[in-house]
Amino acid sequence: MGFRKVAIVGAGITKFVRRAQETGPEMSYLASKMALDQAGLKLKDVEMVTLGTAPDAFDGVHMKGEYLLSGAGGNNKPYIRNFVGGGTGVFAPIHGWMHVASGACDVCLVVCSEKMSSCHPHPQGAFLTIFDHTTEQPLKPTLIWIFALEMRRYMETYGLTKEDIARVAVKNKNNALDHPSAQVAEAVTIEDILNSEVLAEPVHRLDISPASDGAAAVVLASEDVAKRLTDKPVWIDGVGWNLDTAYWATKDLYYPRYVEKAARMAYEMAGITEPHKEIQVAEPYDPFDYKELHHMEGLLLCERGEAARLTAEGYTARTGNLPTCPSGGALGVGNPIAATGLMKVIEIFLQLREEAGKRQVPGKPRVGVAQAWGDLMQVGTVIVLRR
Amino acid sequence: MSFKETIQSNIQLSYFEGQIPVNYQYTLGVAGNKFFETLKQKGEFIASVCSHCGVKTIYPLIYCEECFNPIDTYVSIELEGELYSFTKCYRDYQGNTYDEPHVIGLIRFDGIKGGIIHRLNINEKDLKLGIRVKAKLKPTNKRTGGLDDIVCFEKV
Repeated sequence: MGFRKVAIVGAGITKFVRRAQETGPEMSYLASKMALDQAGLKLKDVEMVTLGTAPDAFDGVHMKGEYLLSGAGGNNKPYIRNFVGGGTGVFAPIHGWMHVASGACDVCLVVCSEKMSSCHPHPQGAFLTIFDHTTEQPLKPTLIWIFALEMRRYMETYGLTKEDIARVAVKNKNNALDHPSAQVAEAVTIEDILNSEVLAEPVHRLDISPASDGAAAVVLASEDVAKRLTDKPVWIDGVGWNLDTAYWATKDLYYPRYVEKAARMAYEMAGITEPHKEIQVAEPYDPFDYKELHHMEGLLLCERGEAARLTAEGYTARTGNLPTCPSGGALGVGNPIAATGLMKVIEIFLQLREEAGKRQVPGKPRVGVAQAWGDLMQVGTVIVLRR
Repeated sequence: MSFKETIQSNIQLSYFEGQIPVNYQYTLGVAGNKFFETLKQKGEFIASVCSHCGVKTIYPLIYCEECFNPIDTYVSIELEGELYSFTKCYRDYQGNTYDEPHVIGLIRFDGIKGGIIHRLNINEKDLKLGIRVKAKLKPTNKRTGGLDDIVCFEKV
């Protein structure tokens, strides 16, 4: 389609924590500097910067993109913030890809940062006004309500039990024990998940990822530059994004069609026709445990309704046929919204370079997919990477 | 016209009350914490110093904006600086009239990038760009480690 090839040549990620002393710009700097160091570049080598961060109300800073600019290395450069809710962390490298693939620049720094701990008593308060002010807000909903509705419909549609869902949290929290950035890694069991507090039936506390502070960054480069910088470039082979209506009540809650549309867009670009066979490692977005299953199906990594069975059979374990969330995911590493999506992209980058350490999946994977999701159950963002 | 622009009063249209029900507890940051702790404990300002390019910055940073290298050096600087600009303000951010106009200035410090914006307590006849000013601090036992530990800047 006339796009230039684009590679990831460096990545950086801070620890994800409940409350960081660092400000947003400081966290952005730490991740950006790590990414530049890994790429062997200085800030002067970066031509453009793109930054992803979730609602301003989390940090309590309006014009948060501008606020984070300095730490993200954007001073006096072509710089722009992008934002599609929870889908931002995978959209940010897509946005950076646009910069390089279009020929606008050869080197683009992509930064994602989130400081949710400033928001009191809880970021759920900031979520309140994403709901329609006339038809939903008077009920004072939380996001957990609508995900509980979605989870129950998904379980009912495919005859799943809470144990089926909880296996995802067990897998991911255990996987995260090997991630140096992890906030809530834990050797939990299905019983631990089911015995945790019920927040909104059928959702238990341990079904959900935490609120987090953290930042992540990657350096993108054009083909010529990438080949000069590293003998292990990881190519962005396909990108896709798709948004459905904010009137979420109109949708089929058991299946994320917008994720499928985003995935098909990315797969077409990457020349992938049988994703369940061609993709060897995946990071579906998992802010809730059922969402990983939902998204495996939306990403066409399995048939609809099959994700829970495959998980129970170990198919998605690190040593399985299709490891999902080998990082530990949002459920284990933590969920500083935009930074989470980019953490997932970084995990695929490391897996394809065989630099994931204890988290490394076997079989020398060559193709992986990362995906994020968000807004009012309405956005899917997908990126396919290839070694 | 699509907009009901002839309706002058909100209550003529149906509406729901709404708000974003959160408040914020901002951390000072690593460099900010050093600045305000030093101000509280020692009554001094500190600037960050880049060991690579030498740029000093106030408020201090953990990284150099010029060369993007990490910073781990901080030095005390004088409480005295130069009035770079000022304004006399008559209304607050909600449109209320101040009892007395607020005089606000931007103070720069010799050889330092950046500056401090704060209240000025300076006779009107002396109020000129370029005059030397110095921070007046609260007594040690009244300082809390925040911006109000600086009472104002006064003419030297």
